[in-house]
Amino acid sequence: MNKNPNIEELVERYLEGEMSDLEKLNFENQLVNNSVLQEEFQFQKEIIKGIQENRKAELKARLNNIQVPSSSLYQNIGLKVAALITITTMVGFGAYFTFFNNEPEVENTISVTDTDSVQKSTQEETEIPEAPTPLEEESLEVEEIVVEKPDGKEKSKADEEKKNVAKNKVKEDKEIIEKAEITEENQPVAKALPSPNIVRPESVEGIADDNVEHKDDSFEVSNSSLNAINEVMENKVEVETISDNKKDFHYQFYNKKLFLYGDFDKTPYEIIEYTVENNKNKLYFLYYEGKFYELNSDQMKISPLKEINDNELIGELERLRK
Amino acid sequence: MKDQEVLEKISHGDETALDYLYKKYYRMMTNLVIKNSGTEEEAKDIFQEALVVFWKKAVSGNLVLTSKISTFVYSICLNLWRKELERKSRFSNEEKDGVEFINDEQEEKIKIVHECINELGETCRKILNYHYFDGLSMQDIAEKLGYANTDTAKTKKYKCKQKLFELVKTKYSKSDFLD
Repeated sequence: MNKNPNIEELVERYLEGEMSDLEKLNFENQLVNNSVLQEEFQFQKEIIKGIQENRKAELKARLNNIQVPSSSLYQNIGLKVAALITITTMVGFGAYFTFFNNEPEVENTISVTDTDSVQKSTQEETEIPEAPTPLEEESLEVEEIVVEKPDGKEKSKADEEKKNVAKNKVKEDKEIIEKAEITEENQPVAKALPSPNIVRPESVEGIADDNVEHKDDSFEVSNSSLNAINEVMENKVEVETISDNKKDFHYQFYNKKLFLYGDFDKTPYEIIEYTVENNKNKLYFLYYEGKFYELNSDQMKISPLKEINDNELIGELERLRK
Repeated sequence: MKDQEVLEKISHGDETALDYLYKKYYRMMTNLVIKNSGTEEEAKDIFQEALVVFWKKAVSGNLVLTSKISTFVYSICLNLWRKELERKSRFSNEEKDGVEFINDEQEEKIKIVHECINELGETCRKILNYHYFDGLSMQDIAEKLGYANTDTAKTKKYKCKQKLFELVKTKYSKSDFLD
């Protein structure tokens, strides 16, 4: 190729943007017809591009040498997937067990209604009918309808706590025992579950005979105690769940009724009720998806549910749930 | 490091600022591509390209950021990846043979230019990079290289370019690119 300083300079000035508008126009017109000019133009463009590419490659090579946690990107995703599966599984299990726990409670409600008690509220499955029972020996009495499979655990529990089992109802078809704990002194305020529904848990292994005896005794329920129960039943907290996206996972007590805000329809929840003996206050707790939440009965305003982190309390609540 | 410090460093040609940004935002930026049907290798390349673009914009010291660097770089990545996706879909519709032939020739030429650049002295490479890559003004170049005035820088640049032209032309003719 012939060296043509003029053409070279011309192209350079054009590419450097050193030309006036008129010169540019002139150059562009020439470019169309002049193949030598075209060639020089392409050549210089390539060089400039080459310089740019070269520098870019230099910088990229520099960055390429920096250690980055590239594989952990996938690890991270993997972990997230694993966590998601775990959570899903846990929720599934929680729903499964809670559902089974709740089922017999419905049975209980029905049986009370059968005996003309004033169990009006057609509560949701998850509501626990409560009969608060003042207890003299212990500072804290827990009233809870507990449902569990009849196994040796129940016996040991009864022995350990030196409490008398007030009654025991065994639904043979489901092999589920419904049990309420109560002390002898408190028998007048005993459970109002009707005897027709109560089946002697003969088929159940692991329940000591003497316990069964006690249960039989307590089946003699007087009318007055029935009334007492009914009163208590009326005091029992009503629960209403409200789906509200804005107030997700909030609660309030209003007019002796507990309102739960949030998506409680998909996964069952439980209300656990403590009765403190000295004052008549009751303590409520919500169990939902493996966690316990405090329910302050003085809470009139809608407020967020607070998770309980006290391990001792959680242990106690866990025990009560079983 | 604060954004302002990063800009400051880049404007002084300090490449460690790029290293810092690269490490800091690697996951964020590569995720953007990976989540939009890119491979990790593509994601890495796009992020590196984006940082190069950022470098070119920031190196003059005149870049005024209205957002955080991360936001800015993120949008560069986004645009680059969009272009790349467009290019890929266009490429799949084209006749592959012709394209490959052109690419081969261009690649060869680029390779030659690279070789020639590396044969230049350190100062020449700097000047050419400052001028053609960083887009610095002659005044800035003169300051950076400690020249008395812009004319010296201009002359120096001209000489370096001529040298490069010579080198490339010699090699081109050996490779039969030129008559």
